[in-house]
Amino acid sequence: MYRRTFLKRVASASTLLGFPTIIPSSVLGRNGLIPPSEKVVFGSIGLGLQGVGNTSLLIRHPRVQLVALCDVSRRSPYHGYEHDQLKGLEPAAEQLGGKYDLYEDFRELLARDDIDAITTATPDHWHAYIGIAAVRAGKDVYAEKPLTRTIAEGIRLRDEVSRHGRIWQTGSWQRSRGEFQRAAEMVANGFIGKVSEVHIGVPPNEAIEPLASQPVPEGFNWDRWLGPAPYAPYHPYRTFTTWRFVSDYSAGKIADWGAHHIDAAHWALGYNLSGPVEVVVDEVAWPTDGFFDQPTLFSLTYTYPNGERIKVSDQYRKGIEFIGEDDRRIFVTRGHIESTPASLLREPIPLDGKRVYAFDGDHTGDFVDAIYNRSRTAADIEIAHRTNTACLLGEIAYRTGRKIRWDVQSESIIEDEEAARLTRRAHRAPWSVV
Amino acid sequence: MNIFLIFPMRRCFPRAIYVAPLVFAMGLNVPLSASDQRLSDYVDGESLSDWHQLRNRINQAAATEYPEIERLILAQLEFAGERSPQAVRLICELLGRVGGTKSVDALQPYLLDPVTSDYARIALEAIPDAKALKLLQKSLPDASESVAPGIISSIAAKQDSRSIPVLIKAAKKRKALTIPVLSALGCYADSTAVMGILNLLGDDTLEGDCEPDSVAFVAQESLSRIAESAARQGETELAHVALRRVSEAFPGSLAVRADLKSTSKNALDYLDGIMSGHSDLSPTAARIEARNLIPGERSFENGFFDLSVEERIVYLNQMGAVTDERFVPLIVKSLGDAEIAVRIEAARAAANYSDASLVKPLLELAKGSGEDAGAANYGLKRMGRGSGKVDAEIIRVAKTGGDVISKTAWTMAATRGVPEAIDTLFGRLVGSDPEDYKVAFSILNQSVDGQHIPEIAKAMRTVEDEGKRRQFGRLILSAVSGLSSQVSYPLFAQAMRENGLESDPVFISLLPRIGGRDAWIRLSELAVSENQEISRSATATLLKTATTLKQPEAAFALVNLISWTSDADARKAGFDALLGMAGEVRMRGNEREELQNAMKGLPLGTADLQKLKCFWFPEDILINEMPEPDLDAEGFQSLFDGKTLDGWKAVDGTARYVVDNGAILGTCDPESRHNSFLITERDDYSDFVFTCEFKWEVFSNSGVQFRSGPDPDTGLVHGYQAEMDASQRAWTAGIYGEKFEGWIYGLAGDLHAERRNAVRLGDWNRLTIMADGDTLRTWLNGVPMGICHDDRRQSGYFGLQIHAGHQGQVRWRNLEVLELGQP
Repeated sequence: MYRRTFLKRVASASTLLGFPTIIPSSVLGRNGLIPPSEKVVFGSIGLGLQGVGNTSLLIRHPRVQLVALCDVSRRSPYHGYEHDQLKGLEPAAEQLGGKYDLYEDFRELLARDDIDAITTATPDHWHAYIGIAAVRAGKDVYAEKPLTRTIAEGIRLRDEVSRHGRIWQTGSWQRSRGEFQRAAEMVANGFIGKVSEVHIGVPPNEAIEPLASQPVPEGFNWDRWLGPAPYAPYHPYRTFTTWRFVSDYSAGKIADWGAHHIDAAHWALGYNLSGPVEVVVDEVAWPTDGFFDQPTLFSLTYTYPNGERIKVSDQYRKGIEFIGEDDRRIFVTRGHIESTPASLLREPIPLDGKRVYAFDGDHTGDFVDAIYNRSRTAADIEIAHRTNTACLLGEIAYRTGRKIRWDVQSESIIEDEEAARLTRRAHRAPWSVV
Repeated sequence: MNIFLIFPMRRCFPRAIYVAPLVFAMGLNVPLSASDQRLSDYVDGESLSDWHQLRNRINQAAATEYPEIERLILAQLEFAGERSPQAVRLICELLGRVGGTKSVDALQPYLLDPVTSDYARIALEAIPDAKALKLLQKSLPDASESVAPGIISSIAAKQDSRSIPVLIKAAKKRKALTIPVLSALGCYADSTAVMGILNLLGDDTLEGDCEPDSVAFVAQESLSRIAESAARQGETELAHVALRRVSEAFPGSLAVRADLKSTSKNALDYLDGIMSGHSDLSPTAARIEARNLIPGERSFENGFFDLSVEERIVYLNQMGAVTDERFVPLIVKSLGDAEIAVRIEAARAAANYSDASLVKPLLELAKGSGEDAGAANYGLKRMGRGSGKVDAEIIRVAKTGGDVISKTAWTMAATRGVPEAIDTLFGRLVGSDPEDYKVAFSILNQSVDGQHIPEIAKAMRTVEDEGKRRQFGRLILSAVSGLSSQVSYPLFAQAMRENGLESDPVFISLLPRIGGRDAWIRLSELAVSENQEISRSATATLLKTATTLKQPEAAFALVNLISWTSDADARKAGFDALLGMAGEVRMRGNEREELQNAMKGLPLGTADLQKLKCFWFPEDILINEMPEPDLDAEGFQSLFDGKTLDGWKAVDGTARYVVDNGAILGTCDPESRHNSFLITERDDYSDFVFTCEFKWEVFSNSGVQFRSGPDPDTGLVHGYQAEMDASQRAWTAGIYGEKFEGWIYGLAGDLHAERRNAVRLGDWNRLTIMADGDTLRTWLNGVPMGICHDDRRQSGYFGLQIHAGHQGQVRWRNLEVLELGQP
């Protein structure tokens, strides 16, 4: 009891000035020392494949205590998750192996003032609403990527997170991996000279034949799953992992993989806090039937302020290839990095060279540390927002077939009112984010 | 008959993907006319090709073509009287892309209908035409309570401040709309919105609590948003009006936040007012807080040290956040405070500064062992990254300070990667003073990283002592920790090569710990080196680490060893190790396939190769999917009369077999030197269906022999056995080769997980065996279990096994056989 009251007091006194609150660990327990039982209390929202994965990584951390879980499915065979493994809230609780309070409504979980932080993994169309509600309720947030469904939502979420001074970590976990850090540092320190092009390989979207809707399975709150997205009749393919192919819920693979790979390119090239100035579509093909409506093939070319071009396509090798001067190259993907010439990999970063945020291995642990230190995370809100914006500009480029020009300062599309329509989407009441 | 279905482990939910016929390539211009489109009749589940065509047309069109496409879509909306809400949704999405004035008119009827309102807003929110906003505004008074909040949010999305009176009026008229309107007003950086919020609050709501979604909470949030965006746009006057309002309306409010910093001077007066009413801080503290906001007027010294401990902590915290060098003396003094909590907070604050005068006090603190020492270390590590001043000061203290503080300073300098510190410490490492060595080692061990590997290797070359060299090995491991093996191995190998340490025992022992494919390949090369000492040491390292580290690379290294070595013992040990790793290695990408191919070419006997395959790739082996044969079919002959052991004889071991209660009861003799068998006297059963029931009285390993006979060398029972496995492994009904070749068909892996549940430990089980030509199959309690193609033994007797060991007692009954191919 003492701890909670005191936390609140300290928090209230310092948020008064809007500075990040550093909770002095010494004042949490008796005699000025932190008792081992003091932990960050967590709730977890969205327990599909990714949510259970993230949460089980999180609870391995000794300073974390998980108390509550929330999902729109209690226990049903068809409700949006991997068929053989997870079947809703109750099985997730069993798998996580502890006693938790279970909620269908995330607002009830957020209203608990004993919860300090949440981890959330829902389809993209829910990201902005839940993120804003969480920071308003004073929670620190580990949120799955892509950051939001639209650029307008991203701007709003970024503003709310910074105004409330909360700690935010986005699930772009490649930022916490040695091979990507190494690649970013090699590029940033000129190992391959000035980068002219970056080739990013991402998987394509899928198409599907026309399908009649099905009755909503018992124990699954379909209306709540839809939330801010337009009402549509239920079909299991709208859920599972295939919701990514429906534009009501996601921008598809460009946002899904861009949140990792375009993010890595931004990192290496120093565009963490800005973004592209131009995007054009080079090639695109669309489904001609069925409710999947993302391009089944696309390639995009982004141009950045210093003239670098990032090309994204399903034709490239999956990963990120930086092309520098004299055909020097660095290719990096999960668990693998290579360079041309190969000797580049062996060169150390000079002592006075540029260093990137280095936190190896444990993306969730980085978040927990940041909660304690009130410091920035590896994939902080602004970084994630800028990456997500770049991905979504790609979506707009292939949806309009036009060259999209972007003003990174005012965060707006230049002189194309019709394309600018695609930077926002109306939300179904009452889940508006404006 | 019980048919048991096992799904393959991949996703059971097939994705119907047929991209080729369904894609629409860019540049293909499809003609479109209103008459051949029937999107408006769309019924759920029907083809959506019309919609895709229109959408694709939009995706390619120039903005000037939008009116024409809009006309086509609107024709859809008018086309039929009866239309499904889903058709409206699809049409609205397209109108959102291309719609203009005409669409607004057409959408009007849908906006107030609760079923279609959200859909209509998708279009109306996107259409930039002023009429769209007018329609939303005009509809609000008539909108039902379910529809109105959505309309309010769409109005707010338009960001037109002329909507503010409309919103306020709607909320005044209907209390239920207060919260959506208060929230919407936060979108406008406009003084009318501020007035509107206060107007809506009235007097009675001020008592309301501040839970999220309460009126008071939403109002505060919106006022803060207005202040923030006003300040960002340089409209300080508006920002301060918003702040003054929020401070008046919520005297104890937390809503005044970062906004204040940017609103400058005017904020001061209002802050003073807020602070004096703030319950959490003393008035003095509040005034200091307020002054703090005004650059040039910070006067923390006045009264800072009179504050309570908790208040000082809060301020130190903020000093860390604002990083103004004028706070440095306060932080320095606080580092020596009597209260540990204050010292800790001061050290954390110091982390954000780069002032050399903080270094010495922090080092003094860091040399201790309490939590304040931890905070001081954190502060020192973080402060002034890349600042020469801080580094130089740390080095100065290291050189001139007393023993304890000097060690702390060297550690810190090394952790910060100061080149001078690293050089000095390496010098001490190879020096002659044992105390210097110890200290230098422990410091370096905490602070080296990848770039120091060449230096470590260089130092290692000069050291003779074997134990010391091993310690250098530890340094190398510390240096590579955190690097991926693709990076660390080349660094490591090159450094060792350049220093002539390529075949050093330390080099060999580190290879597996460095990891990565190249390291393991190198290790397997060394294991077959012509130099016996190197070969022995590398082989031992490989065998030991492969089975503990369980990496796919280790398996490849073992495969190399087995194929390259000419030493039979090494090959056998490599084989055993490879077998021992099976099932515990997580393979990625195409490693599985590569390993499979590599294993195929190994210089091993067929039996060993099969064993590897069975252990490593159980999912590749055959699956018995045949239903259990009909056991009621005619022609079955009983092998046991229920009363006597006529037709059976006991061989090999000394277990006892008796008839008990209509069953054969076998009991283990702990003295028995061999496995015992009760075998049929007839020994020419070749193609058959055999079935029996068995039950463990005392758990042990057991089994039923078939197509068995005496081993030509030893005379012991030799042949196929349907396993009876009471252990947790539960491989009952797997196929084993007794005195033959060991496991032929094991039940390892996820693929057999469900099958393994078939066994009933405390109860009778039915075991059925079918041998037909070269195909042997088993069933347990009706579930298909083992299968193999093996014709090395074509006929023989049946036998009931009691395994040698401490204990075991098993019953068999209803033993029957149906011979195939017999009349």
